[in-house]
Amino acid sequence: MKKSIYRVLLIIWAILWAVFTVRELVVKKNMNDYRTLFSLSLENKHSYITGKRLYEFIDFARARLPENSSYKLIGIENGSIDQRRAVYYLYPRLQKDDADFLLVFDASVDVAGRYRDFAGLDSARRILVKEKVF
Amino acid sequence: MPLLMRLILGVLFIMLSGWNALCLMPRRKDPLYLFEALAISFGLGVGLVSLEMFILYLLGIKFSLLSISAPWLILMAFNLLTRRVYRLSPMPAEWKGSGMLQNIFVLGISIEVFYAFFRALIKPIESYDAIAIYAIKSKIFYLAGTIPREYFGSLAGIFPHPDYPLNIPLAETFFYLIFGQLNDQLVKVIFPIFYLGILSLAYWAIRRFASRLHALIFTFMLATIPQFSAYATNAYLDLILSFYYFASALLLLRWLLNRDDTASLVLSAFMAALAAWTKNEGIMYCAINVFLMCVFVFTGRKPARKRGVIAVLVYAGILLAINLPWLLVKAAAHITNTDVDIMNIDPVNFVKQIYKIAPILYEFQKEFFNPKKWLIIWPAAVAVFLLNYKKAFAGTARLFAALSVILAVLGYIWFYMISNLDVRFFAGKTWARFLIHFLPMVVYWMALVVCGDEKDIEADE
Repeated sequence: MKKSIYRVLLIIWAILWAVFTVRELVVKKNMNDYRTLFSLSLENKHSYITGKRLYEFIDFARARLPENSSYKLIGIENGSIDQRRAVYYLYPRLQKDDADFLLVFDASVDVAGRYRDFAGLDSARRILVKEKVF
Repeated sequence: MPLLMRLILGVLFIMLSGWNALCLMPRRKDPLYLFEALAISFGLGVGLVSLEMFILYLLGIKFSLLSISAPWLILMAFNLLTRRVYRLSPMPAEWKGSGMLQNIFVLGISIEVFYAFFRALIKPIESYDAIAIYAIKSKIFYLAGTIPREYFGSLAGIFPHPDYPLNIPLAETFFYLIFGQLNDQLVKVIFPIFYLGILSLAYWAIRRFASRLHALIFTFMLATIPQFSAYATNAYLDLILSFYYFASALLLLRWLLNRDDTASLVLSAFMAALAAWTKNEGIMYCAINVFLMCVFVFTGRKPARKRGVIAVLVYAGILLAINLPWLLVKAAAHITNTDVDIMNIDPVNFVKQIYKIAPILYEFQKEFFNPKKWLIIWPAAVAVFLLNYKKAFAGTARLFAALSVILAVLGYIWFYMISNLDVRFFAGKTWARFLIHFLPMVVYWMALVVCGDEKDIEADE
C-alpha cells in the first residue's frame, strides 16, 4: 500500500517536473533569451538585461562623470531594480541628494539657477551639472 | 591567461584551500566519501578564504593574489612535507551501479545540474538583491583593493543592509582578483557549484543507509525542485546558506551517532559558523545546532554527559571565534539590522505581534500548494509523515532531522513576529526563500523515514 502511494507520488513528481521544465524553456520563451544572450559580449549582456535605452544612458554618464563625483537619478523610481542597477554600474560615482550631477532619464526637471545643461544623449536623456562645481 | 583558465584556477584554488584545511582536522574513523569531501572542501575553501580577506582588512593589508594565496600555499607545502593527507572512505560496492531506472534518475539530475550552470553563466548578475546588496559590495572591495574605511560610513547609504555578512561578496572579490577584471558573469560559477555540493552531500548522506536507487530518487527530487535550482543561478545567497546549514547538520548528526567522531563535530562547527558568515539567518542555525546538541547530550546516558558538555562548549567556542571579529566590527560601526525591531523581543510587545500569525500562515500555505515553485515536495513530506507517523520521530537521526526543521520554521515565525516591516509584504517576499534554507534537511528526513533502517541510523552509545 505504502509503496503504491510512493510510486504514485513519484510519477506525479516526474510529470510535473517534465511539464514545468518544458514551460520554463518554451512557454516562458527563455530559449529566445538564451539564444540572444549566447552571442553577446559581457557589455552587451548588461545592456540587454538593463534595457538598451537605459544602459546606453548609464554608459554615456559613466564616460562623462568623474569617478569621484556624485549624481542624482531623476525619472528612475527610487528602490526600483533599474535604480539599483544604475547605482551598481555607476559606482564609484555615488548617488546623493545634493549631487554634483543630475541624470535625467525620461523626465522633466525644473532646477533653473542651480543646475545647467552638461551633456545629453537626446532631449529625454540629459546630464545636468551643478552651477559652479566643474 | 584566458579568462576560462583563470576561472578554473580560482575554483581549484578554493577547493585545494578547503581540502588542505580538511587535512588539519582530527583523524576520523569513518571519513567522508570523495564527493562529500570535495563538496565540503569547496564550501570550506570559500568561507576560509573570505575570512582570511576580512582578517587582511583588519590588519590593514591590501587584497592581492599574493597576500591572499600566501597562507594557503604555505599550508599546502606544510601538508605535503608532513605527508598529511585526508583519508577518504572507500566507495561503497556498486557505487556506479546500473539499471534503466537508476540511469533515468542520473540523467534527470545531470540535466538539472547542467542547466543550473548554463543559466548561471549565460547572464551577468542582474537580480535585485544580488545586485543591490552583494554585487555592489564586491565591486566596492575590488576597486578599493580592500574593504574601504568609508564602507561602514558614507558608503553604507548607497546599498541596503550593510549589516549582512561578507562571505560571498569577499569570495566574489577574490574571483575578480583572479580574473584581473570585474567579470560579474563568470563569478556566478560559485552558485551552481554550491548547488552541486548540496546534491552531493544529500546523495552520500542518504547512501549511508539506503540503496543507490533510493539515494538517487531523493537526490533527483531535491535537484528538480524549481525554486531550489533557480536559486543556484541568480546570485542570491539562500542556497549557499542552505549548503552550510545542511553540511553542519549532517556532520553534527554523525557526531551524535558516534561520539568518538571529533572530526565531524569540529567540521560541523566550522560549517555552522560559515552559515552565519554567509547570512544573518545563519546565526539561527548555529543556535539550533547548539540547542539540539544540548537536548541530545542531556537526554542521553549519564556517563557520556561530561564529554558531551565539553563538546558543546568546543562547538560554541568555534562558532564564536569565527564570527566574533565580524560581530565586533559591526558593533563598533553601530550597524544594526533594519528589519528587526529589538523592542518587539520584549514579552509585552511580542504578545502584541500575535496578529501576524494569520498572514504568516497564509503566505506559507501559498507556498505549500505552489507546484510551479516546489512541485509537490510539501504535500509529499506530509504524506510521508502520515504514512509513517510512528517512526517519523523515532531514533536519533529522524528526531534530529525533524527537530531541526521544526525549530527552523519556529525561528522564522519568531523572526517575522519581531520584524518591524509590514508582515504581509515581508512574508510574501521572503517565505519562499526561507524555505530553501532547510529544504535539503526536509528531503533528508523524508529519506530517513522512508528508507532508514533502525540499525543504520541509531546512535551506538
